[in-house]
Amino acid sequence: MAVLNAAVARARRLTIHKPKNAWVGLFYLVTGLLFAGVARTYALGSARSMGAGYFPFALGCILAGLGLLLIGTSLSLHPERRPAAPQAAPRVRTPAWPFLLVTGSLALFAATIDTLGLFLSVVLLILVSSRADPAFSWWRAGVAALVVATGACLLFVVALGLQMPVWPQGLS
Amino acid sequence: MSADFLAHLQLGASTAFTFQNLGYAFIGCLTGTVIGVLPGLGPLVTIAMLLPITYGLDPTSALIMLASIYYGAQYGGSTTAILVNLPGEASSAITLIDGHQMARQGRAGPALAGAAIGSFCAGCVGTLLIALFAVPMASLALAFTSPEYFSLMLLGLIGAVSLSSGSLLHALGMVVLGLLLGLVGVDVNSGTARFTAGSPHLMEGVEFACLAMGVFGMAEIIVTLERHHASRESFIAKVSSLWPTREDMRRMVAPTLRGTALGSVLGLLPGAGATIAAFTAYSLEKQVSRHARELGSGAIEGVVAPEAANNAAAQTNFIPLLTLGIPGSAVMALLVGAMMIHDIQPGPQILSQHPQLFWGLIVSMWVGNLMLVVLNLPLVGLWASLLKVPYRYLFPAILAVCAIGIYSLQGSAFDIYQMLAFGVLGYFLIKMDVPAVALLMGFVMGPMMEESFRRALVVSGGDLSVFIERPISLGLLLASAVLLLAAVVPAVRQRRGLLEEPEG
Repeated sequence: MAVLNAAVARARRLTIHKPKNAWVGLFYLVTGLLFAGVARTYALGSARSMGAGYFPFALGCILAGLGLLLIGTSLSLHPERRPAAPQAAPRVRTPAWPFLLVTGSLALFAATIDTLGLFLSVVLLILVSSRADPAFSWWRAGVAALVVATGACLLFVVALGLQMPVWPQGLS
Repeated sequence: MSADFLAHLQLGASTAFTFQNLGYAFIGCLTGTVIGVLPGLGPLVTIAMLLPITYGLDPTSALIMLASIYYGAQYGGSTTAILVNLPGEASSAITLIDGHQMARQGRAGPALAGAAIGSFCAGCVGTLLIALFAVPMASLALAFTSPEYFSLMLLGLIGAVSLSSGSLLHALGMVVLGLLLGLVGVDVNSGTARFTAGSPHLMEGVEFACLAMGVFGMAEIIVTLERHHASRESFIAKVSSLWPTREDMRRMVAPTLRGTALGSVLGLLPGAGATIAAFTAYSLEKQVSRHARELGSGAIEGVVAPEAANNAAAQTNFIPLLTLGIPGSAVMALLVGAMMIHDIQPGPQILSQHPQLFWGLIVSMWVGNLMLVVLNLPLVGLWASLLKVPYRYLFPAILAVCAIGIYSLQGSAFDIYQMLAFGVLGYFLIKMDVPAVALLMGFVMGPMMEESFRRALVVSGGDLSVFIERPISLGLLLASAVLLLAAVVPAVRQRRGLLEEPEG
């Protein structure tokens, strides 16, 4: 009974000292379990004749195990010894725009390249991604877009001879 | 023996130094450099595209041109790695660690020059080694069977882990994740489509370029933009010196030699190749170099050693091809195809039946290296000045080039979405201080490791002790264990200090 009380008291003192380790550990744990789970559905085979699932299953388990270990290292039983300064640099609000704009512009490119052709897609890519720098004026961005689009077409299609549509379907 | 050797070199020189062959070598080097610099494109795609053009040429010229594309790409890949932190080639992935740090410190010039010089020296030495030891080298490669391959790759991976900055567990996880990602696609052995979620695009597996561009290119750009958004500074990298100092030159000697030796040996092993040579050379530097402490924050050893290694490996990669007829990599396989089209059987008889091809190719490799250094060194100023361009003009261009390069791989927009997904992953990793280089290493090794593991077990009948029974494999495994311990022990000691219970 006393042992149980002691265990509970210890558990109450568990705090997360290293949140980054905890997050990454969680990521590894979940990803490892996912891979291992999917690998189970393939033929596992035996050591002598490894099936499609053997190696990935083993790797998935290892990854999940590493995740657990990492989560373990992020915890500590000494809440009073928590590092004074947060692990991250002085808290500045991370702007969301760069992430959204870069991802968005690339997604836009992927969506339009087949239909609009290389030139226009690149122009769109540059125009949208340029918004990530607030000091980038529309005028300058427009020029940059034209320059890069022209250069890209010359380099990839003309010089290197790659097959890709330069202009929208229908024109040519 | 030496009379033979000189006669061989003479034959090679007379073949390589014709106006035509010099011309082809030059075209190859130029194309290769451009390909290497542009992310997404690679020597494989380029050689495949140019193969039909070479049908009309005579076989020696064709091989000379294709070969120079291959090692030209090694040079080009290091340029992007240093300047923009993007691995143009898989084997340049390790150069970017110190190379980009040097660029950040305004020392892009010395980094680029160091890479070029180191590669050239490796090329010279490599060519010499090939000329002297082609045949015995080939038989060394034969001693490596599946258990040895597996242990070698494990050593390479442990090396990648132990040299990663930050937590060991993080890096180990990255390697395993990389291995798993490498297994995505159709399994060659069983025909099962693994982890493809029914998507036909993933049948071929994850593209290296998508992974690399996403995790390194996209994620890095986003994080850099966030920093500027917050601080409103205009980010123009300072470029101080263009040329390595005398101190730099002195420090470059030992790593170049080590990298060359390691790369020459590792390039012999089919499949191992330039990438594992580069990673292993960096690991070696970390253990052996006098300036090991600076590695990771801009030490020139960290640029020169992997570059020398990957160039040496690119050269010796030809040996199993030419002497045994075994293509060491996909590029080599293409070259086998090129040779067969010209009615040349690669194999042991090539030395006797087509000596001018063999020796001509070897001498032309040296010539190619010379051309590359002549091409690249003056361009160092040009490349370095690229960094002076304000970041706001650079990053959209980089995004565009990445996107187009990746699109050009399969003409598929899906690949760009892949890059996006990995970009998000890369962003998460940067935010969490996880080293991403180990991810690339695991990715490249994944299918090969599984294959060697499977083969080793098939041959031994499911007996795991085969890895310990064979001496070379055992040696490699012990080396891995030592490396791992060397990385773990300091970390454990540190933790023990933190966890010590107070008395009373």
